[in-house]
Amino acid sequence: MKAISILLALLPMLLIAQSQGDILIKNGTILTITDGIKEDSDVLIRNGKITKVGKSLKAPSGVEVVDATGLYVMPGIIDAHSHIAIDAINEATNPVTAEVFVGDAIDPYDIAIYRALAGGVTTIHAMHGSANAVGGQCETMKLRWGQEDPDDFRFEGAPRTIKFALGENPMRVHGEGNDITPSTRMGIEAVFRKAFAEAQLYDMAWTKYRAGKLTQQPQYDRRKQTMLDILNGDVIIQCHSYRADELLMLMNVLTDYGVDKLTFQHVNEGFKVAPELAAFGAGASVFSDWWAYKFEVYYSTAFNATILTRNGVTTSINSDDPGLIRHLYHEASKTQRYGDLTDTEALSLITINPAKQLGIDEEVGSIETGKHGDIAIFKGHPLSIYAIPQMTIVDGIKRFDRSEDAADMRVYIDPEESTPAFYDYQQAEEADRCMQGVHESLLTGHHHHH
Amino acid sequence: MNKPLYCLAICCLMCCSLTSSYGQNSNEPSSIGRTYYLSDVVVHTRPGTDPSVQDVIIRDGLIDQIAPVLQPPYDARIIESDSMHLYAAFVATLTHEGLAKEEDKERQDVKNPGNPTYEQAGITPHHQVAERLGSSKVVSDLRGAGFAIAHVAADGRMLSGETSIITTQVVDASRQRLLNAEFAQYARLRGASGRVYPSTVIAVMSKMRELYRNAELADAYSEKYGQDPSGMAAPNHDEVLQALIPVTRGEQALYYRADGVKDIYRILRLKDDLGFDLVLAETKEVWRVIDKVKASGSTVLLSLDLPEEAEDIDSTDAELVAWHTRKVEAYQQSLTQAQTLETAGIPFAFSYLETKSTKVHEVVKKLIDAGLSHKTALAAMTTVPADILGLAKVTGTVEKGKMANLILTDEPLWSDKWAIKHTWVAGQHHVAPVKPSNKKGTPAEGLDLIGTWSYALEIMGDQQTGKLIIEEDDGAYSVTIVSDDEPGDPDTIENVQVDGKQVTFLYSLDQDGFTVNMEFDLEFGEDTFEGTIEIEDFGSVDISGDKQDPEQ
Repeated sequence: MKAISILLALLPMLLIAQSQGDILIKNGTILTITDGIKEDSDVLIRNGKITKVGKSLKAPSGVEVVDATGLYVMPGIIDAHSHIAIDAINEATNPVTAEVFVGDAIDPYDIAIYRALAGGVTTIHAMHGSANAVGGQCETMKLRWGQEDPDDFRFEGAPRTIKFALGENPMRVHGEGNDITPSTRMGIEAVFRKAFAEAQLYDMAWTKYRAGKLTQQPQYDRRKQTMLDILNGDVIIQCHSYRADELLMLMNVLTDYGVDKLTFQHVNEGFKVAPELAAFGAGASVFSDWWAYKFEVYYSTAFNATILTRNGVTTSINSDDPGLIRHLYHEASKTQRYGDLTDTEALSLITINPAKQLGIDEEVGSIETGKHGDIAIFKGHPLSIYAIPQMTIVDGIKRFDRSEDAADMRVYIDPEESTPAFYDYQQAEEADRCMQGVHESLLTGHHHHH
Repeated sequence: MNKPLYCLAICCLMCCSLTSSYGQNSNEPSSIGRTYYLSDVVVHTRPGTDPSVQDVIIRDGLIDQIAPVLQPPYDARIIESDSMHLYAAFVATLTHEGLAKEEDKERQDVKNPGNPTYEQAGITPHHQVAERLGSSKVVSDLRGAGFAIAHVAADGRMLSGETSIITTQVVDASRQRLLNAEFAQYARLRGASGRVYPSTVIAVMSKMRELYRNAELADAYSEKYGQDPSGMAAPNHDEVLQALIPVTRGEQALYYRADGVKDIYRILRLKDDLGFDLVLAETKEVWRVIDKVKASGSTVLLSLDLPEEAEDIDSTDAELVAWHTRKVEAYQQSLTQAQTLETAGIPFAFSYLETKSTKVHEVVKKLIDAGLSHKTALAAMTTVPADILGLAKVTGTVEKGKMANLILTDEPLWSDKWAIKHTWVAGQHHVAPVKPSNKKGTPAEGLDLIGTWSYALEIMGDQQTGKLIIEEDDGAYSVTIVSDDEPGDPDTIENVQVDGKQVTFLYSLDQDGFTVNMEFDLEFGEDTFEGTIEIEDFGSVDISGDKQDPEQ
């Protein structure tokens, strides 16, 4: 008994100390996403990168071999909208908080990371919440469970992203909550325009000062600087949204300011304006079939993802939830019940499409030579209701293996904790993450604040 | 869904205990300049040296002479010291003790929480501890625990103010205690009070970066203006930025409180980005991040606020046994992290922000019992802090010419039974009280608090019930809270104040980077009680209950 418990305790330690590995996956059905399906084929990962996809590959010496006979091998799933693995979500004190960055609050010990891996997820987009019209900057993360340094979780080279939010959440928090703009949808538009205009003035002030045409040195302002970075095309906007009129509003505002990097989140009425989204080049990251949790989101359809896809919009399906993130493959499969997407189209919703929306499709989202060695292995086709994730590999390192899934896989343990991990699970399931940290929400009763 | 607050309330009721003690010394101050003579005393010169029997003369606030045989000066007071042990008095590397008690602030009503004043935001690096030093009474606990020098920071939010180094002498005016009025800045990753910007750790970190950069810009601008102001507007004076300039220049260290491993990583990230001279204060869980801390070259002050040790379990359930084993291992790691630092070659001292001076030796003894060497423990309380505070030539060892900061003990430090009998602070002599007073107040005549009381309260429409068990041990009262939601997991609060019918105690909870304090104020009758729980940044909640029949 004693020996076993000590071994369990050491398990997470074994993962530590490297974040790029070598592995050969043999004889699987390879769902490449971008290059068809390859039966009885192998994937070789060296030093964290896919180096070969083909038949009868030989394992270089010292490289672990995973037998995938009878199993499905797909690229690691990417969740374009998540709030796990971060300790702070909403800086809900100002309608514009472009300066804050959830990447400053990475929580390497969040057990939700391991649970997401157990659902085949390898990359997440950890987002600021939707309390503010302009929320904070988000962090694209690799789920390198077992590492403890927050820096080890950052997706190196991923473009910066920032949360925007339309509609009821920012109206309620700031308008109703603090009696300041925005309390209406037109107020939200005004907040965006003002924030961009202030950034332009900020830029002018510094330009003048540097040219010797201004006698007083301006202050450094991270909020305005970040808005300026958006105007300069350095940051992708990820906008919480529901109604079609608001989608059009934001695209009009961004057109006026020359900004074109945009993905809408939730976008439940996206199906009404899908051609307009496609024309703008905006992405759409949706729920499969989740709506009617508040007034502005009563009008939606489970055909949303299919309609958007058929209209040429780069579309993904996201979780926004530590529970849903574990079965995004089921969420993707619903587009075949409520639409007619092909297997590859459906799987693209949780692989290459979210990668495109996050600007990381050169690195992840498909099984291709040169891409990250991020792999999810399933028993049963991932779009089948009977699919069971077997193994999840990040950068060539096994981070989840169903055959080694001990009862307590946590890295961090509080010596004073009074309840086993189950309690954390309950909290994660029931707590409201998207509006987490918003005091005002405590007072408004039973809402689900997406 | 009111879950977060429900969780908060449950957590508050279940998880927290705040240790505190109210030992008092009742010393008569002696005047500086008096001469003292100690004969045949066992002198422990510095950590790691062999003790030797010496005679010692203290004169004019300094250690005047140390030699095997000295004649008592005619004007010396002779201290009975045969076979007693003489050590350098301790140096508190960082503490909140020594400040005057502040009036409880009214809950701030901020008109625009997204654009608060510096004060509302908890950004007050221009405030000075030196202006807030307390009367002699507030340093008596420190002195009673053997501290002659203390580096005092005010507790606060993001940047609470400039710290000061003081002695623990009894003086007429508190400023006479100052050794250094403007020593360092003290910071936390803690948001403003009451949903005011910055309210989260991400906003605190962003604001720190912005302030730091603006302090650098203001400094550079002023310097340029000083060289040739023609064509330049006069510099704007911003007292917050001015106060940070010594930090940006590397002239002052930034003492940053790190309540756990995630705080350490975040603070090291700020140090990497901004480049300040870092002292990790009140550090916990440093054993998880030892290589990175070492590589950063930061100074480490270890917290003495140890976690509670997990109680033994009586179960053969494999999952529970494994879980318990991990908890015990995590506790052991906390208990032995001083050795971990020592092995890694990282010098460290203790800090005392969460541990009252009256409890310090109890904790240090625990660390020594867990394997920390006497030498290292003594260094962490004398020579290392003296060095960190730039006082290595002034104090920290028993050497001729140093400030007479000394303690005389009956037995060696941290042996099974030892006590400080005499203390000198800058030559000022204090005799330890014969018996430390432990009085905690008394209940009103005829009122029987002891026993089990039911309680009921309502938070956001959610009814919560449970039991309060009040116990008394040698005049000290404790309250154990047993929630009906988690009856298997009671929690006991030790520092309970009893005065007549009033029973008051404090709960403190750290969550999401915030500390939430809950103050219980209860009035007891014969069979019932009622009162309020004041929850910080939230408001007050009513609580009431009845005495339970012990037969049931």
